[in-house]
Amino acid sequence: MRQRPGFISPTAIVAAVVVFLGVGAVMHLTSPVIFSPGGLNAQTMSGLASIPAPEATQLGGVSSHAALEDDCGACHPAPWGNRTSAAACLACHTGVGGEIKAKGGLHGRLEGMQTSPTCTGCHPEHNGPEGALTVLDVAGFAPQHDVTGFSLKTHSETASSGKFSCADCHPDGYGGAYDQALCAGCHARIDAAFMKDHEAAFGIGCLGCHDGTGNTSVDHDTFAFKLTGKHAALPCEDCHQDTRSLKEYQSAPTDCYGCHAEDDEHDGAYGRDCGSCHSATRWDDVTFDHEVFPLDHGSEEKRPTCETCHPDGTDTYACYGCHEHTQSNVVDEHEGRPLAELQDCVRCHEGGGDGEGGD
Amino acid sequence: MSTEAETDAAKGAAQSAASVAAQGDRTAVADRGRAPVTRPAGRGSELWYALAAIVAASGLYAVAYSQAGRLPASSGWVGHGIGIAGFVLMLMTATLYPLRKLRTGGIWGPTASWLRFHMVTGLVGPYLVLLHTAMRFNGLAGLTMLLTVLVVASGLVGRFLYTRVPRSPRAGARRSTFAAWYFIHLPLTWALFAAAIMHIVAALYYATLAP
Repeated sequence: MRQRPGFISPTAIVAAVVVFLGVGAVMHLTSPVIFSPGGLNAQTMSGLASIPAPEATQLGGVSSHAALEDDCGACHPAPWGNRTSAAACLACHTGVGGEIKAKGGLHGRLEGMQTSPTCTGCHPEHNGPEGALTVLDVAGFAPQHDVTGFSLKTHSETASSGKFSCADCHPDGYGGAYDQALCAGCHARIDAAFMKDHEAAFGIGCLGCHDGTGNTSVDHDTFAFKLTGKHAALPCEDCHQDTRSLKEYQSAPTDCYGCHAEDDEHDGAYGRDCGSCHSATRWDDVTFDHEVFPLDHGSEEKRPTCETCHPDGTDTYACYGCHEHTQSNVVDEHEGRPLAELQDCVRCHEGGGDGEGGD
Repeated sequence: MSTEAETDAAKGAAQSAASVAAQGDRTAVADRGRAPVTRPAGRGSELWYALAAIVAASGLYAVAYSQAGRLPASSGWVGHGIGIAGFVLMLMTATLYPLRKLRTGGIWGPTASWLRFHMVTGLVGPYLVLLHTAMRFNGLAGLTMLLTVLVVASGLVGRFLYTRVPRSPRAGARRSTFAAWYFIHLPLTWALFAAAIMHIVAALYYATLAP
């Protein structure tokens, strides 16, 4: 008979069995908490000012996760079942579930939340009674914050060159609407005088204009100058150059020539009211119809202005305003005709050339 | 010289010759009329291999730590990987050398070499498991780590005994020393693996396979 291998001995087998039974007994007599890698968070809602009646608030019948210490199944569904871990969280955290369903708030708009929601990526547990319930690296999370409508692009460093933490703007947790008074609190420390003027001019609804990207979105339709056509897509600085105060913003030019003097291809010949012919969509989208007579009449060096041919308004015209077309010259050219018959030049000279036309 | 001593001497000589040939034993000491005493060859070089592997593992772990900003969680990707690697090494520790001792024949290599391999994996595996704990020792996981430490400690004691107790014809004293030591080392190892298997099953249920 082959010798029993030395590494199988009765004592060894007994030791293994003792451990199996011991652990099983502890688990049976207490709870599966023997498998827990750490205590559960004991924070209650009473730490959050944004929750009404925090002491009384319970979710899923408990005031904190720690109350569930012996009920592992409350959060850990069996792998062979069809209940997911996220579903276990949302069973009690119905507010978050509502956000996801409505595709609103923060959770409803985070990537992946609609198809395969997960909670533990940002919300770990088993870190002890004082463990953080939300663990986020602000820099890593910044792109996701865009879904709230506010970008963290300009808030990567605090005024004292420190790093932002979530609590700097969300001291009372993340439920409910963001308290815009917090913006003024920090920014007044940076530049008190400016903030005083700014708040007086624009009020305290910071998020109405500021989306965190560094640009400001304002409803310009409430102002006298409407941003029509291509004006709407421009960055603010194109028209409001080097402006900081409300007064400076309001003193931006509102006439076309205030910004478009260099764009005038007519060199001022047609006046300064560009809008009377041009739309804000495209320069060549000209509504002015002068088909009756070519506008490029005359020499290139000296184009006629509107007034040259229309000295008395656009209802009438006269060709005699130019040197070439003095009355005596015209009469000479048109032998035998009296001047009175030579008033409607365009009737014969449609293209502005030396047309021979009859009458 | 008696016949028994002759046979012993012949055996010892053959063994030590084989050891010398295989491992470059420097510490063979001739004993007057007795077989040369041998020690585990290589002057503990296996410990250097183990240290090198531990340093390498620590370096990789440091990279993971600096990327995560905190100790990699036991249930994360890094944590799982280290835990599995450490357990595989410990499994090898507990099976390969003992199985080698059941075999005869040179094709499996010198048993002493397998013992050295046993010592390397028996140090590196538990070290990886220690990294896997992320310094948390709650409940069954903590018990498993404790048993690991005890087994490694008993193994180091055994190695110490192995070098101190001369392999001489006074076999009785040596055998009882080792038997006493083995009486600790073996059941501890079985207890450790019982705890480890339960820990792995629980970890699979609550962490790895969590839906």
